[in-house]
Amino acid sequence: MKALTSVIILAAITVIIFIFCTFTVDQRKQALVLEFGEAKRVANPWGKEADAGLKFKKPWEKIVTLDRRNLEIDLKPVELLASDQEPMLVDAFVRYRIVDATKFYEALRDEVGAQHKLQSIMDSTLRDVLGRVNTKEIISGRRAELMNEIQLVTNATANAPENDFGVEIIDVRIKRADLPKANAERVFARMVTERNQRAAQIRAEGEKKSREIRATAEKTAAITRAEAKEKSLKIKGLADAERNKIFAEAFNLDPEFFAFYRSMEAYKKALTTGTTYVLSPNSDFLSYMDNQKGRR
Amino acid sequence: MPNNNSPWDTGGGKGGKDSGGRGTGGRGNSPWGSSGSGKGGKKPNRNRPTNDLDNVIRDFKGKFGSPKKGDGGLGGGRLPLIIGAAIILALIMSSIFTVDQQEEAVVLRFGEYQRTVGAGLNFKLPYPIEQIIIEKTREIKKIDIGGNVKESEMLTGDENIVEIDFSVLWRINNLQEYLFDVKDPDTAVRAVAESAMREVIGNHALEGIITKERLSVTTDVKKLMQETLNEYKTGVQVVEVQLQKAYVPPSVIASFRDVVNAAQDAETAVNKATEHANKIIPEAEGTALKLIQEAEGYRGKEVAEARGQAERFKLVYKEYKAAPRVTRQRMYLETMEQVYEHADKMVLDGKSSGVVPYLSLDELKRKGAK
Repeated sequence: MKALTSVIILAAITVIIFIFCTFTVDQRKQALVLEFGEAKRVANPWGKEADAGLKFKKPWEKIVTLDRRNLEIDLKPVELLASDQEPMLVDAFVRYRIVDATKFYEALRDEVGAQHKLQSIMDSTLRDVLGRVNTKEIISGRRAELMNEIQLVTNATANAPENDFGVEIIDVRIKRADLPKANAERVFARMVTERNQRAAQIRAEGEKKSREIRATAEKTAAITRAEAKEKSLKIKGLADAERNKIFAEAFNLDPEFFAFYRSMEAYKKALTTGTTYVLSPNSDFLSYMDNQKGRR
Repeated sequence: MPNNNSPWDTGGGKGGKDSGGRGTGGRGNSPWGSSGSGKGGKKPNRNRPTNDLDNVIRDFKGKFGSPKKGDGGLGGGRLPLIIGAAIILALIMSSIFTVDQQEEAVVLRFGEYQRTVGAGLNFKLPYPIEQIIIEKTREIKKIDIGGNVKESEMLTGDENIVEIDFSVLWRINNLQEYLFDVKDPDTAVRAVAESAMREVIGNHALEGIITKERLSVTTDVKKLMQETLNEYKTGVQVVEVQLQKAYVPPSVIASFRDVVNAAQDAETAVNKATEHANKIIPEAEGTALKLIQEAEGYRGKEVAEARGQAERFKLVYKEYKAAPRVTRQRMYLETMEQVYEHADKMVLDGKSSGVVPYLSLDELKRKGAK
């Protein structure tokens, strides 16, 4: 019986030692070992090869677990003035890592503390850096460059002697850089007027083109008609010339007879019904009226 | 004997089988029962089991009951056995795990990474020594961003505002990084996607974003996201970025549509003008053709007429040449005859000055009217 009791006691002691003298560190964590509140060492710290697993400690040592991974802080949107006095709403996020667990614990205690401190640092950093450039550069021109600068400034601030957070700012990224509501309305108004202008211009250009087409067509039509007129007159002229030539050729055979012949033709046509003639008995026509032998 | 009783026998035999079984059970000393042989030999067997059945039941009860009675005696040895078995079972259960085809699992020993295992049945040291984390590494995950003003509206490079809704398809391509290097990688993917999209949109003009640069926007976002996520070591691969919506905000849509309408209007105006042109030019050409044809007609007619008259004159002249005097006289008289035939005429002697001729113009006119 005595042997059994001692075995049980031994087992109990082993279990107790095991419980109080060991701890485990997760691959994703680093553990700060505190002895009566004083930081003694860090298990599985950042910067060294991963060393997670089962660890030993003195029974009175306390363990504080901190993350070893790349962490995010989603900042609250900051309203700031760009250098062109344009207000902007900037929503950014920060990625950081605890590189010195002791300093981090000392200065910030935990991730919530880090969130508070970094939020206020970021507020002023964003204002400083983005306040020096204009809206255009924030939105497009130098966004990547500016984010880089903000990261460097934040990193420097976080590790300055007065802060010494024991963190590394991996990246600062602007999620949103927008105009506040009132300014957005102004942009909408401008977009509308720009489009209206554009529409008017397009319509005017269409109208211009249409008129040009009409005018050109009218001109072409007029020219076509005029040219045809010219050509037709020429043809008629040629016709008259030819006619004259034909007549001249024929009538030149005997101009005197032509005069007589043509006169006869003309009388026949011109002097017809409805005309009253006063004839002289001396006329050739009546030469036999009084004299059967004629006057001659 | 048995043959005499054969009807009974058979009847009893049947009865014994069917309904008589219980009845005969009481009469163990039935004459048929004892005399029965051969076929009847089965009957006693039928009867006996009923006796036996009671015994069996009793026996069974006894046996069944006995462990209960003997519980106190045997219990001291069995309970730890059961507990031990349960513990062993639990250990085995916590040492075996299955991984689906879509998944991969990492094994942690006291929190320290040990190994990554694939699909199938796998083993590990029991809890709490080893633990596993299973993730769906083959599954393509989707994040939708947008759908509300705050997330959708973005400033473009030319300082306009565009509404963008988009989806990101991604999957885990390095499980170790995904689990151990970044906290909450899913949120990281989302934040990076938003940031990348806005950066890319900020580098494009509105016109391009809503028209022909959509594809380049998505490829740029994908590239930028991947770079950033690699930098963070998220172990995430961006499979695709899809633009669901890329258009101007509702309050300016009307004016944008009006630009499209304006283009239509302009085209309509041009079309109408062209239509007009296509009408009047052929008309003018037709008129021109007509004029020229007319002229040609005139020419043909005049020339032909002239030729005809010339020819006629030549013929008459030829005749005249042959007998000039007579022909001339004849022509003159014929003409005058024709002229005076239907006309009013009056012959006055110019020499007789005594008569003053009176010519009534009114009368002449009246006659002329007739």
